[in-house]
Amino acid sequence: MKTAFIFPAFISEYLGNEIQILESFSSNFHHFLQKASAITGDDYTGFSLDNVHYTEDELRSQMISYIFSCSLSDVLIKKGLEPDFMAGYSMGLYAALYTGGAIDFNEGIRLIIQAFLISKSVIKGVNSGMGSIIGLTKSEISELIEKNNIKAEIANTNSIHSHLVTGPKSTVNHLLSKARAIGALNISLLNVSTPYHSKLLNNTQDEFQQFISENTQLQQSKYPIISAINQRVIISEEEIGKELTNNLYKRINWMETFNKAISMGVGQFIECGAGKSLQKIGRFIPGDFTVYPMNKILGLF
Amino acid sequence: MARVNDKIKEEVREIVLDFFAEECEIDVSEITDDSNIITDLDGDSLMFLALIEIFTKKYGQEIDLKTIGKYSIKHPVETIGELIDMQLRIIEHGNKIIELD
Repeated sequence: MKTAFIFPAFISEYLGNEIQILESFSSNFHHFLQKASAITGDDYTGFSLDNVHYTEDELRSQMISYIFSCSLSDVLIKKGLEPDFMAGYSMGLYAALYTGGAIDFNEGIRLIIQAFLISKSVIKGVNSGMGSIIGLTKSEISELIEKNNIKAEIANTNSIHSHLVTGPKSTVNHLLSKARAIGALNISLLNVSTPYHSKLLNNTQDEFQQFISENTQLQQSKYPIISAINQRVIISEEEIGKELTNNLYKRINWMETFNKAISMGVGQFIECGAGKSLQKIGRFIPGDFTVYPMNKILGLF
Repeated sequence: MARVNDKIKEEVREIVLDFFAEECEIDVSEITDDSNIITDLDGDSLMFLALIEIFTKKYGQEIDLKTIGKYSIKHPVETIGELIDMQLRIIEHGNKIIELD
């Protein structure tokens, strides 16, 4: 049975004992918080799971997610559990690249900051956001968008009846209310103001590409990465560079990413990060596999 | 659609409680009919979707999720008791749930 490491993007909900789990494995977590503080000039050492200074701020929250993921993957690999494949959920890509040795920890921090800043500059003046729709299919949402001429897009398919949408905030809200009216079980606006995986970020490509080529020594990944965008398996520096830029503005499909892994023999997914959002999503994807969030990994050793 | 008898009521309750106990990593005894799914149990809408799928498979129903979604606009589910009642109504009425009141 093959193993895949999967990496979350933002942590919407913590298990509560993530730090203790990492401490019990003598992980690099606190060391990474210090490194992130030194690189960014922003103090991450005061992080705690209930400190909204970190959990409610989009960039800090993304950074913390990256640090949790890198710390956990380090622990797992040190203990002898290596992935056959990896996949990053949206901005979880950076931690996958770190785990595969394609970038180092500091490069990951700088990429996250730069991607965030470039995205913000491209959408300057646009109040944008992302939302979640539960209970409608992709075609039902597409039809809503088309019929009502809504300038929002589907950003990600989590499963047949679970999608993320993105775009200018007013259009996302419009789409969410239309979705609820036709029978979506649940809609919610996410605590994310950057319209990831949206055409609004098309113009990030050149600047981010330039930053990557000037500031990052991309390496081949030690472990193959399944692209969340088009599910191709990538390893080389060139493919990774392309994936990094595409990941900001292209639609992803997490369900198909999962299916690709399953089709290649993966039966064990390790959620390399805090929370268990990817385990929850995985519940709706058919197949004979298990997703282990951080608090269940002890059972693997 | 199925006639809801005491056995089904008991099955549904047991499945719902076991599901939340496992998902929320708490003991079944900590869950009551009045437990708020979001504020008390840290639950979410994906759990509601998962339960609908569990019950439609178990009782061989073909449910249009949008019908349940529309019904839930008028009959929002906040507690475990309300969730169990909703599931029983879905089992009993299927897609005709929307025709209730």
